[in-house]
Amino acid sequence: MLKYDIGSEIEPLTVPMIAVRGLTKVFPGGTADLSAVSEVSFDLEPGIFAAITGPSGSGKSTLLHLLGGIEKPTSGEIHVAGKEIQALGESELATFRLTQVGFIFQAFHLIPNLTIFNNVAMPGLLAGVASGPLRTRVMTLLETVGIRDKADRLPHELSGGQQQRAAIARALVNDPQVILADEPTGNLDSAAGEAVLQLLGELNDRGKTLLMVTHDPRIASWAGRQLRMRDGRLLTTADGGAAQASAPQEP
Amino acid sequence: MTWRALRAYKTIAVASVRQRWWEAAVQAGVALLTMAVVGAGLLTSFSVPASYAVTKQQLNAPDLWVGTLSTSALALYAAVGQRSDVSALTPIYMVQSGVIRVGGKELPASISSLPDQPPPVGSLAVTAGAWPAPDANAVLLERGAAQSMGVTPGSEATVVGGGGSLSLHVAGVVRDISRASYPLSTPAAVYVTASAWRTLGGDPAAGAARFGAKVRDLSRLRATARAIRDLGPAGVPITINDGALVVEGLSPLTFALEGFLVLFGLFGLVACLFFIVGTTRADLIRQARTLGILRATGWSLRHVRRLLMLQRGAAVLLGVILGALAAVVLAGWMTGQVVQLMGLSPALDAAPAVLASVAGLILLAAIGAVRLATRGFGRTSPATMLAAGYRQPPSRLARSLEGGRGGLGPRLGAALLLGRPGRTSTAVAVLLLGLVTVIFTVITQASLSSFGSQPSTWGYAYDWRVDYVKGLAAPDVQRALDSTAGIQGSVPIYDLSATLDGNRTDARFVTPNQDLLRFHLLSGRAIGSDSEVLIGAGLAASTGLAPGRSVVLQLGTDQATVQVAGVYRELDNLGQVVLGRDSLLLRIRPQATPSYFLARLQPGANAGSVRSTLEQSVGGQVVVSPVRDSIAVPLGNVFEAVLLILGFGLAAVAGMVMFAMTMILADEHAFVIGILKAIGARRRQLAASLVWAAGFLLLPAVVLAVPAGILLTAALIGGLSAVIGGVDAVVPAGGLVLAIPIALLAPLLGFAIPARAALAASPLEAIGMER
Repeated sequence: MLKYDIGSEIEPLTVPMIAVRGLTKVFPGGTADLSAVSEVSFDLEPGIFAAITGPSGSGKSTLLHLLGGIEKPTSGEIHVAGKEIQALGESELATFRLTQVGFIFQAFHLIPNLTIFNNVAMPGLLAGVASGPLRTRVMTLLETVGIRDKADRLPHELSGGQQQRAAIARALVNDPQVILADEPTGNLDSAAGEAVLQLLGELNDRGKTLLMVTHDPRIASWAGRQLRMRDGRLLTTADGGAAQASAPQEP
Repeated sequence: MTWRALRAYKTIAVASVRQRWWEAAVQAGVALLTMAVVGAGLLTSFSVPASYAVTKQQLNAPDLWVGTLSTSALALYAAVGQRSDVSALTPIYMVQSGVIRVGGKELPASISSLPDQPPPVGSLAVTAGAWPAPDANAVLLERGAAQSMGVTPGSEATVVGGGGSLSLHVAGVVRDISRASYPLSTPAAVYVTASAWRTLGGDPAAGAARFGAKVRDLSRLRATARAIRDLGPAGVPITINDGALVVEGLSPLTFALEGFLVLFGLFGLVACLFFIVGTTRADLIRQARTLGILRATGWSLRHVRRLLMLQRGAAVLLGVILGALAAVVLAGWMTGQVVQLMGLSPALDAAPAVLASVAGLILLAAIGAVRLATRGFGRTSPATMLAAGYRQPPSRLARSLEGGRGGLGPRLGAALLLGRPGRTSTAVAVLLLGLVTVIFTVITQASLSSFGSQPSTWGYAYDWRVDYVKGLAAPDVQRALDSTAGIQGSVPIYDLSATLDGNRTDARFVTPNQDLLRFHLLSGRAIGSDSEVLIGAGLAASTGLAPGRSVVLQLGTDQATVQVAGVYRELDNLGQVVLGRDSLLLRIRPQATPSYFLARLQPGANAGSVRSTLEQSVGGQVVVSPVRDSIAVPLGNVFEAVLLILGFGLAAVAGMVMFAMTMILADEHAFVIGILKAIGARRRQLAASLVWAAGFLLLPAVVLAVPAGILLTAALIGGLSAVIGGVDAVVPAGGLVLAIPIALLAPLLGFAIPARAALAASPLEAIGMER
């Protein structure tokens, strides 16, 4: 049963919300294979706001894609909300993406020929939520992210900040436990970026587990915990805790 | 996933159709055309026999016809009437040959006596005018003959019989289901009143008679027919025609013409499949990022596939429904055209079953095409699909530019295409198929025209058929033909009624090795000796006779044993013809005289003045009919018009698909054009590169399509010819030279419109154009 209240509390879990062990992703290349993520291991407890930081090409977006089930790992284990996602079949993985995680992209990735309302409603439609409750839920979310009056507009008629707010609303429509955000402020000006971070912070305050990719230390400072990556490897965590034994120390 | 997900599909599909409605229109259009052509062809083939059955019931027509000499008819009629397995008889129709002239036109005629009033069991239905009174000097004309001569009730006609000529009032026009309509069946059928029949007179012993019989048990029709045949005295020929022979006899003709329809339909079906696969693949590539978004937000591959199937399925279903309506209309019209030549009432048959089968096939093809196009789709992760359009193309573009040779225009043009190899190969494949479709249409049209202009075996290199009134001696006609200036040559033709292996047929005897006669052998070989004959396909179909069989050929009381050398396509008299050398005829019946002559005019001769000279030289006792007018297949013109429309439709769909394909391709290049403009490329340079890209795209398609189209179409027509015989593939060079550039306009326009928009846009706008 889905919960439609943005402020719904998540029951405290005794197991990590996200647990990664020996995660590796290798992309086959023309002359040599590219190892985007290499032997990464970490745990994230429920309700945390974490940031994955690192320079461009360090593998942080790929790591987020692996956690969200939109890329398959070459090896290793990923547990999200109690599900071992590398073991899921195509259909189960789709259900996982539909109900367990909400993805926010740097380029927004709204469907250009759907209205903002339909973009936000799409995951709910697919989950079979009845029309009345779904409409209420979508309009509440649009109200929350401050673009209720843009519901009937097409994406290209909105500013970047407004499009990203719509993307956040879409990520929340099925009330997932985990929000994954890939450079959510990367395409926004500082004011819009600030507002989006504020919104994400509020979501975290209400119990959502939030994992955000960014290369900007100022933005990463919003997070309670930072995972730093370089060349596909996890280096340290910024809250002072030691990285997993497998993670090398930053030189 | 539950049916509730349908709302998600609907939301996406409606938005897609709103934005790119023409893609759905192309899918629907192809399905519509395929359904219309295949459905119409099949419906027509089922409806012709159904029309016969319906009309037979309407007219209370007899189940079989008995033909014999007029002198034996009364005794045979009485004997048949006493049989317990015969429930009713028509009146006896006496028959003699003659000529009818109306308003300056004349036709050889088969003159029959008319009962005093419409009989309870009969084959005639008055379609215009009225049944004449027995004592009136009046005539009824069979509908085809009336149309050919332009006669309506109220006209005055001159009928020439064995005993002289008579001026008669045309009382009406009739349908006659006992035989095909003129000119499919010659001579023209003419019915005169009892008083007119007596006046026309003639030699009763030379005449024939026929009557129809209804049998009590139709399952024993053939057995009853055999029993009736045995009733006749020895030496008296009796022919039995069970009526269905008219339909069966017509089948070579309708099958030939429907063959073209089916050829179009099957080609359309295959093209439809490839177009759907091509456009679906292009659509997937174009929509990669949207599909990536859907998958990233919870759509499974199954959902995506269902969405695509529903999108295409809906479009194809719409096309199929409209196509089914078109098929019914088209089949109704074609059936009407076919059966009116047989004097029948049109009736569509098996429509739901036929249409449902064809519709199911097309829908299955569409759904299968989506499955084919999405095969391997699962190997691409949502993340890769989200990145589509950003990473690979520019890097491949750079590699292509680095490795290219020549000027910037061709290098950049090639690089644009090679930057997106998947799209380019799909576009080339679709263009290739589109051009092959156009070439197929042009060649098929030309072949059908040729088929219609040379439909049969004899006389088509001749200009005239010259019949003569029986009072004139054949040698006098031959002399007149030889001495008339402007006539290059002539040949005598002997046409007689005959019985071959107990089956009534027409027999035609010609001088052997006439280079002007054409034979479309379907099986066996040409005649090699006097003891061999060819038989028409209609006769072969209705009797089961095949090459190698020895049979008895009976001409009245004379007979000979002959061997069937081959079966040939003969449309005249529905193929119910046996053909032999005139030396065979003269061996059986030495006193035989030619029935008519075929004459060929000298090139440039004035036909009117030559005809006038010929007629004057024999005192006006000849009937000159233009061969092509009298023997040309009337259906040919009808079907040619139908296929012309369908051909243009198919070519138009190919044009639409090619337009759509190149438009997708050029639309995607807008992004690269924007980047190139942003780094300083001049508009002229970019325009040149696009022209080169268009050239690189179209050139291989044209180079491959011309030979492929010609060979494929020739092979398909060859296959059709193997079934129905005598269809030669005609490749009209001029038509192709005209059609291919016209067809290329569609993809060129499809490429030019978005390319021009991208060139005119600012760099940022162009980059934003990528979807």
